Amino acid sequence: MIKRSLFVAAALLASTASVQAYTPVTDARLANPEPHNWLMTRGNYQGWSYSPLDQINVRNVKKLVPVWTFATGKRSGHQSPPIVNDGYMFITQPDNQVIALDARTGEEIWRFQGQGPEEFSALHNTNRGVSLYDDKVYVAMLYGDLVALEAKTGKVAWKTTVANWKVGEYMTMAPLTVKGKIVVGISGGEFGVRGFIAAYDAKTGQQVWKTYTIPAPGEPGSETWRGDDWKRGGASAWMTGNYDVETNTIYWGTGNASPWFGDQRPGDNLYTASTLALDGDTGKIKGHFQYHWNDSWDWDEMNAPMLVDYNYRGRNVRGLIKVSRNGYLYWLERLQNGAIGFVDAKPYVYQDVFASIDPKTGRPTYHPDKVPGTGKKASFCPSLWGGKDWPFEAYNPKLGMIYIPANDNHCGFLEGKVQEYVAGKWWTGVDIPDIGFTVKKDAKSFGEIQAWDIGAGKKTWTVLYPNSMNWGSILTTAGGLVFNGGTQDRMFRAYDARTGEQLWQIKTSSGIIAPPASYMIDGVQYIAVQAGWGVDPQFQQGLLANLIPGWPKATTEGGVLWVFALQE
Amino acid sequence: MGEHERERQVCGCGLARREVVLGAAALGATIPVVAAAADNERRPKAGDRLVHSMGPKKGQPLRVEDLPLGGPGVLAFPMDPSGLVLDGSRFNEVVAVRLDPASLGEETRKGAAEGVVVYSSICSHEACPVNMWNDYEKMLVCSCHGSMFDPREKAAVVFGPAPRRLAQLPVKVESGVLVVTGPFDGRIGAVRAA
Ligand code: FES
Repeated sequence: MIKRSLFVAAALLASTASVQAYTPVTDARLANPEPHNWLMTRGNYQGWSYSPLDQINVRNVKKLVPVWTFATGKRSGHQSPPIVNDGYMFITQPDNQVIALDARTGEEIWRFQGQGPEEFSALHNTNRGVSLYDDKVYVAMLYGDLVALEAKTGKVAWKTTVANWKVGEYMTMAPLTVKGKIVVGISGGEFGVRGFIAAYDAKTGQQVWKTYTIPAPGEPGSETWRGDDWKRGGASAWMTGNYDVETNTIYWGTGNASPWFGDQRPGDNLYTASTLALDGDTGKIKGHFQYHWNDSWDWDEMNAPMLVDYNYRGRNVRGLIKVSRNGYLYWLERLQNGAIGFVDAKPYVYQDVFASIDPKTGRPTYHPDKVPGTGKKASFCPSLWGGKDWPFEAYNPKLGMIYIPANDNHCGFLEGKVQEYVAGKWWTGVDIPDIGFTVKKDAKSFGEIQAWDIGAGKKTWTVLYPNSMNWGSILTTAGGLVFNGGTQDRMFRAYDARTGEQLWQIKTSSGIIAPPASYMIDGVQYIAVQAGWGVDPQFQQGLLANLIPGWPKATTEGGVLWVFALQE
Repeated sequence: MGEHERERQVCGCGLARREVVLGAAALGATIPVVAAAADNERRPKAGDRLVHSMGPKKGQPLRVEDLPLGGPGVLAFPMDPSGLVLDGSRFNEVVAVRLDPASLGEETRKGAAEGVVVYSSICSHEACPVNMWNDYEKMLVCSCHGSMFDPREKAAVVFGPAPRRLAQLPVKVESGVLVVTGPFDGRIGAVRAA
């Protein structure tokens, strides 16, 4: 078969929709997004996944109905929220696809199909959405290109190669727009990469800065590595960061250390499993917080913490709230110089690795028998997927509560070996068939939604899913609601944000692992979410089906965007 | 599967070259020049021999006795009669497993020799390397999402998201070395737009 074009090629389909004027996206709009739009992945720079709209609320949510749906034509895991700007909606799919829709009618405006190298192999064939700036839409290609598209037409404005897929680097996150720059980070923690975050000029695609998440010899933090271990030390940067406009600080998370077994790379291994505070203009590292040193559990801490100001134990804190994969919930502080201070940490799921946490620094100590090593098998809870993987928690500022899509009652065991490094190939120190995954024998539930009162430091309610994990990002609204999919039964549900009472649900086309978003057009509030099961939830489901009699083996694949509004 | 069976990185340089093919053809360049450049990317055919693709024996002929009876498998590339290893495309890498000949299905046996079966190591799901081994079930395992393939039955999918079996590469044994007797009996790689 002859391939006509091997790298990016845009396939633009003629539009039948009436294309309306496009409102340029500015720094000011991104800093204060209008309630009727959803301009970035988590709704605002603070990462709240919160909509200030309240037309749909606890009293009327029972009348929520689908108003239109849209088949994406793709299988695999759909993980992008609809990004909405004054009537334009942008959604992304696996296989490097972007679609622009009329957010009111569902008419397709344009479609972009990126094309990667034929021999590219995808560990996570997914995409987590676009970012916006001025009159353009930015999307990261799985195989490593960053592409700028004209928002009105989908035409390629520029493209540049960020990641080298031949050494296992790839991209799945939504970019972050910061003052005319498009900031991205790479995936590849299972392939022995050295992570980095990089910023590109939104107009030209020229690189403005690039910051490695692992210091080179001589740089601060390099003393936490032995010899050449840092070169393949991991700390990928595979989720979008959050941004503090006031201090021009980007908070970006880093992944697991590589290979997975700490004894193969002695030291704390900065900045793996950390949050980095970066200067927005230069990418310079201003501060960091490492959740667990010398990671040996594949516990990425890739999600940036939410920027939340709170009063805790009588003190007002310019804070960060981090729901960690390691099973702990962290209260942190944004200090003026960019440093990250520790306030408190509490387990939110069963965690049996930490023996203690230093109350001043947040540094944990470990039970040695819970640390897997080379030729040393150890079990630990939660499993490598953590108390929460990448799905977004949400913060409701009206209630001072956060909502966590958690998974409990699952554990793992690992035994490491030394694997020959082959560029671009799985290099974790353990083969897939030897990754141990277990569930608690008498477990009554697995997936959860937990609501926590941040100021009080207490869990206030919990929803338990007896027959599923929860892989769904949460949306909370000023209407006092919490929306969540994430279960393998294809349901999408609404809860009372105060009490956790379930108020509404609908069976959709596939499992929902994409973040929901909300927007308003012509006085009508919409809730929109893509259904499309795949990637890690699907893999984990297969393992669970082997462990638990009667567990459904598979959830049907195939992407569909669902858009809901109140029945007239 | 142990570290000695892991494959080495194959450059994808063929992609760039094929871009040149079209450009060159448009300019009226002769095809043979291009064909020569792509020699190490062509798919295996009868007469090629298999060589280890990684580990201490990398580049050396793959001999039946290199394969533990009952698995795990060993990764290999074809080598043409001139001694050129066909590693210009990662889609040429294969996994060889030695099994009890009596355990092989009838169709599988046609392409096997002395119990050795050889399959494409490129998964039909997302094109990841099938370079791991489940020793309890004696199955080939993909390194991305754990799809399992039965080496006794044409590498049929027995678990996981892979939609299709792996292509078999028929072989014979000559002086203890594995020699290809024909092309892959199916397509290589994942089906996707991008
Ligand atoms: S690529 Fe092989 S199972 Fe997904």
